[in-house]
Amino acid sequence: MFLGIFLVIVVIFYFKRGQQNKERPNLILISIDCLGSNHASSYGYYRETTPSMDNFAKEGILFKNYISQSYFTPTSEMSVHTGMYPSSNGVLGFDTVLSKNILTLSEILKIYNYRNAAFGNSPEFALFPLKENFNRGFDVYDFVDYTSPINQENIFSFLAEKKEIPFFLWLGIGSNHLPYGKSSQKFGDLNYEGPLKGKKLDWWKGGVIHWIYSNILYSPDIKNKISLNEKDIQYIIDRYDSDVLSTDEWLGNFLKQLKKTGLDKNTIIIIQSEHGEAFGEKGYIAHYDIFDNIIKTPLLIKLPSLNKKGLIIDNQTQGIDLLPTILDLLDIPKAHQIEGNSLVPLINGQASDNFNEYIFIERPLKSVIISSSDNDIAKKRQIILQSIIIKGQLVEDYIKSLGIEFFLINLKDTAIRTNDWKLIYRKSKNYEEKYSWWVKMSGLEKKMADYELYDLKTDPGEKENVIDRYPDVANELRTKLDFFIKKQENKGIIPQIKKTVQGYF
Amino acid sequence: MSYFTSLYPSEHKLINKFIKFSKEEKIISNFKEISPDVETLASVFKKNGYVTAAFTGDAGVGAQFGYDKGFDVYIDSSKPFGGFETSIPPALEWLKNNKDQKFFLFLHSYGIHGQYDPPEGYSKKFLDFDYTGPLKGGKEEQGKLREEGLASGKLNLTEEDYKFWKALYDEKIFNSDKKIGEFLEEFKKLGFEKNTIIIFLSDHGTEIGEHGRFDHGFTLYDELINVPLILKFPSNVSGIVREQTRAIDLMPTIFDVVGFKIDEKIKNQMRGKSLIPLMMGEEKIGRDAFSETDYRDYTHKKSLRTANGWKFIYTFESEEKELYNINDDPGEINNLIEKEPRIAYEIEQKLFDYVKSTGQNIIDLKIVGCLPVYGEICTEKLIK
Repeated sequence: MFLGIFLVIVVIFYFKRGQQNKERPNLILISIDCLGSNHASSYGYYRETTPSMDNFAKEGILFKNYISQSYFTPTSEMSVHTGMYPSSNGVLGFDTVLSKNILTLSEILKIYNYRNAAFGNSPEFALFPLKENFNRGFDVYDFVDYTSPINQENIFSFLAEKKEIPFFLWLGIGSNHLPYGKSSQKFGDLNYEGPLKGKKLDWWKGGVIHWIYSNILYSPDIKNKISLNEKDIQYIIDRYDSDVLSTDEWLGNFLKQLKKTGLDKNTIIIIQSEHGEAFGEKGYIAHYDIFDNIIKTPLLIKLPSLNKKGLIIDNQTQGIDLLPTILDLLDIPKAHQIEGNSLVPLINGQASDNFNEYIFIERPLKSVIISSSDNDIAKKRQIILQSIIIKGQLVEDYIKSLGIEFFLINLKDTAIRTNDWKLIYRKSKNYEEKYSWWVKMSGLEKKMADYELYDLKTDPGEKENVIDRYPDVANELRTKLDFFIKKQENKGIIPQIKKTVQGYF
Repeated sequence: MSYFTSLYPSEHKLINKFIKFSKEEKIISNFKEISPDVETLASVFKKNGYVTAAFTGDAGVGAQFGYDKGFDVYIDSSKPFGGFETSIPPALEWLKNNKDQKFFLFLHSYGIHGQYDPPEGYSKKFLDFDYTGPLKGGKEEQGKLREEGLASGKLNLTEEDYKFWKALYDEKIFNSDKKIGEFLEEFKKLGFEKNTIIIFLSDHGTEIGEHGRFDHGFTLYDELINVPLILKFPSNVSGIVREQTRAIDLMPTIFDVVGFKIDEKIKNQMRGKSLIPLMMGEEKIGRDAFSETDYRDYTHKKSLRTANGWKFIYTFESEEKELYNINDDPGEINNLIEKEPRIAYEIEQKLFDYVKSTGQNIIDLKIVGCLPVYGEICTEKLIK
């Protein structure tokens, strides 16, 4: 009898020690490429494109006004992994390198003894040098092409391993990305016979999107004889929406399998998208600018206790808020470079009403061009802090050799956004009017204003620049925007460039 | 100045002798002009009806830097880096003439400093071996070794060379200690001991090759920042506080003991906390110590020495990080930054909490020779 009691005590003690190693919950971050809120049924899209996400929302928290920090994957997603603006962490595109001194989400979790794995079919994360920015602190890092399915076996194999150690799983899902129509068509006219039928809906030279640009959407001045009409554009959208549903089905399946393993019980699950996709609304397809169709994306968080389930948050939330939120939930001290704010007080109803009233979005142009600045302090810091060699020449000489004029530092448009207004400062105006990728694609010149103001409540599509109609609003926003831009410039962060070796964009 | 204000250096802003130092212009840092609203220990004593006097060795604590704030009498001796032989005699005179007053006396000496050579020379009493190396000792050599160490980061000296220098350094300590003893005898004779709190401290140590250099200012290792503090009370109550304490704790401790009524302004200014609870055994946990150095054209470093024995040092211009377990490795030789990533991470965040609380521009700290606490001046420094 006595012996029996002794044994029981020993067993309980052993169990408790195991628990101690797993005091922190697991984390799953699901980053869905190319999904704006405007194409998700969870956010009110008229098509049932995201039923699994809808179910997930019922058990979690839905953030109605989640805004990505930028318009394309390398930049937007790195802001999520670092909690920093692109102009602060230096990752402005595919060619830029994250400083070794900035810790990513996975690196911080590694410090806290998490096992980390990244899987997905978003090949951008496998590109050099972007890969070296994202793969830090990951024990497993495996990305395949957009058209390949993600191997769930590998994922669950990883999850099933050392159960006493908390895990961080990052899924980078690229199934919505170009080329569209990877899955069977499920929406719209299934008998479409127009010129796009059977074509690969991709944008490589010879691909349809490139061809669409060369022929200008909705414009009467078409260079080629073949014209596209609204039915054709709708076909593209139908194929895209079908892919969104297909991705959502994969997601639903994954979550179901996860539930079966019981691993979801002590796991925080975050679903977010780093940018949306345009279909001609502002004259272009894919993702290129910082209008809401691109930057307003889904964010849903499910907490282990199913705490706060069904909660809907109206305040603006943003990419740089995710890392501090995660650290807050995991009881890990916040890294000092983080610029976003934890959303935990917001979730607990303790944040003030004007939390995140003003947020900032950055649009570095795809080709990262560095130049001298007319800002004295930033200029002098540039000289002292770094000197960069591209192709054996100093940056300045290299830029000159391309025949491109010097422009202000980090050709980048910046926007300030509230739930009611967006003001965009087009710093890149001179460059974009002459040299931009859009211009290259379309063959047309572009005329831009210095500032664009959009009334988001009455004009969510941002069709009309009302900068002259609301001078008071414009001035208030402009003051705040100028202050932010100046603050970022004064940091003198010069992006470090390593040319991508793969032929990509 | 951190002792006198209970503020961190970047808060009281007296971090350098010059605000601006160039061929064209040299502007002395005067604390009274840079931080006019900051109260000092002396100014508070003065407000409470004390007479205040300082007898110093000039140089870094000269009146020109604003150290005389709150002092009725401020003597910085005619020669810089003066020792007790210059500061004690006038101090005793002054004491005799102020016997019937409540007083605050600041008695200071450079007698252990590198730039001080004892007028009587070195007897080499602590040199316990036959030194045959090339060094001679003395302030010129000290200056030369300092500059060499700063330029190269290491010195080609032998164990014996360092032992030689340490023997001379220890001798200077011995001499100063002797002079303090003589002063205290006189002080007793004058009858002050019964109602005076006597505080003995040093504001920094010195490096004699422990990390490859000479002198002080470039690093924040313990040989520089771990310093003596002794409080003697009339009651002769004695004891040892082993928990970690900081320079900024001195001022609140003094006010706690003398029982001044402290107005809100001073309360809000002081970063430290009274040491009385630690002395009484009511508090059993030490305090984290945040230290800073912004040294000439060489470096910006900040450190956090935690109460439980870790030292984290951050060098801003290189973003280099160091982590030492003081208990296991008091010499701070074994950098554990890679081996203890979690401890390093957590202390780094605490360090930056301190940095941010001082309000200084972290970006400017990446540029050596730039003194961010002096604002605009920074960028002019960059144009060379």
